[in-house]
Amino acid sequence: MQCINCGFENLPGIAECVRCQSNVALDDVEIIPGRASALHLRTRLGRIHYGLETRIHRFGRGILGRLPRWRPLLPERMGWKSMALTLVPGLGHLRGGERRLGWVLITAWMAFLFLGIMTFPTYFSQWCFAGMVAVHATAIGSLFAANLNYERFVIRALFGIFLFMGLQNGPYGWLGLLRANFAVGLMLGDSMPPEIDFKRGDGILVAGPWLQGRAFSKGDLVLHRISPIVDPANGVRSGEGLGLDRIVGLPGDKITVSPKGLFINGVPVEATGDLSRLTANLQEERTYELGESEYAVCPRSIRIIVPMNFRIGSELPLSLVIRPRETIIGSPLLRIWPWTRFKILRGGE
Amino acid sequence: MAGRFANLEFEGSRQARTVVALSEEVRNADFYLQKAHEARCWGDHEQALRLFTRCLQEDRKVIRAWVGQVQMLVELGEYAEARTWSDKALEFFRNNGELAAAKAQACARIGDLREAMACSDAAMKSPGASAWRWMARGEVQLARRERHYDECFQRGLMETGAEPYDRVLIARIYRHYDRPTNALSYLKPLMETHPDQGYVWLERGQAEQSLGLGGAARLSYERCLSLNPKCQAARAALDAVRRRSWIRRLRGWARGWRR
Repeated sequence: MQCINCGFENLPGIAECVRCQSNVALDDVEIIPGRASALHLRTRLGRIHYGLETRIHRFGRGILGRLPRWRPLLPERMGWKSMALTLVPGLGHLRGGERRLGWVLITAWMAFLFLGIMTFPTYFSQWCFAGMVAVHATAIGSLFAANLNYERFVIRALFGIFLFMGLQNGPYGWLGLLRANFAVGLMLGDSMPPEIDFKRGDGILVAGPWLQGRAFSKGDLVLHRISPIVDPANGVRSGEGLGLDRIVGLPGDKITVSPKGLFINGVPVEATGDLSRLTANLQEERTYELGESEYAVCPRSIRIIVPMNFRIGSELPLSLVIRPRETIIGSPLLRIWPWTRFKILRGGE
Repeated sequence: MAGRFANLEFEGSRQARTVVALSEEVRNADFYLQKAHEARCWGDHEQALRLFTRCLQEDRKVIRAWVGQVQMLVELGEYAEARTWSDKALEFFRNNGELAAAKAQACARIGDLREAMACSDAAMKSPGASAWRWMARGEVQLARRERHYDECFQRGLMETGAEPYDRVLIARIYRHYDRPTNALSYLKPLMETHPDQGYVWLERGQAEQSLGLGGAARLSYERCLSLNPKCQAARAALDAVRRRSWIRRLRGWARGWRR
């Protein structure tokens, strides 16, 4: 019995063709097709169903189609030269022939860098530096994830996010730490009283450990790290952070603070300015002996958490704070923000 | 009865025997297939469907009749039934390109474009080639709003088995997807090569009517009726053109003037 589909000669009586599994015997097959109802219900419902499906599919494709497409930049694999050039965002693209995108990336990156430097150390500069990282991540991502087409947008987005975080915590973070060893940027907050020539919102550049060449002198203004101070006797406690205060005592000094006044190594010192607050309302004598690498700093402000022993509105008698050398960052070098108040600072100023 | 009168024939008996002989030798599967094709050309899809079924009654192995049934169901707007019937036919004739193409058309008409493309791909991959496979592919691409649909139609007309009726089929496909201008472009060559085929004028009239060219459509229908006075489709369409509102008349006149 010959199969009408493939022409294979099958044995008589067989129902399906051995070669193509088509039905061989068609004598009992229904040949009258089923007809639609008067309303063509199946067709109408099918058109509604598939019409919606098609519209949703086209809508989704339209949305995805408007997103930036990662079209393949270069057909071959990226070479080491392009990877090395991408240290500066856009150079790899220029080498690959993507001049327009390359110049856009370079320009954006340098613009962020310039703005970040010019507005350092404000919060805006932090955003600018983050923008640098983002541009760099975009440059790397567009260069090396170029083979992903638009259907893989989620993967490319995740790749970009992880790349950004990696750059932020990696190379750019290391550069930031490296920079901090030379100079630290600081915005002065509310804790700066107006006695000193600084205002709230000033930005200063403080010498880092690698730049602070000379040793500190008495009266130098230094940036130091404040560890939490708990003084239950006076009912005060200070929070953690940074302080900008003057050095009162050098390593090896013996400092005595009493109601009679301030004595350093037995020599009376005129307590003016901030120092006057050391002896104000003092009830008893206090003596500080500084170690080899310890400095005495006169704090100008302590955040009061729990006042216990003092009447409301009274002056607080401040006690000297002993700071190990490693907690002192350095002396202010420049007042850089705002530009109208730019000034070169010299330690004690 | 023996003798010299044994072979004597009378006039009436000879004519009756001739008529009976003609009927017996003509009414087979090929006959019904031919009649079905004629009915399809003239747009009488219901009659064509019946004739394809009669063809299968004579011979269930005529694949063209199975394909014709699916095509007629599609032309009658019964897309879901056409798809079901094509699935059934494909059970008997697996990997048949013509049936796969017919199923592709049914799926495209019902809106299942993904399945339509898959069936069209299967039709192109199956052994053999025909104009119908290319036309079905062109329709699927047209439905999916892809490019190169016209190239598929052109490619189908270049196939060795292409007929003049295939241009009419392409024109109908374009008209279904609201592209009467494209339909007219495929009918124009037929005006020159087959001006005596009434169904070409019928299709042209329908394309012109879709374009709003009532006057031109009326002339086409009248020409069709002059070639085949029994064409019910042309008569109904002519009546519809004559009954169109005055707004449609103005619109058609404006379009004709712009052309």
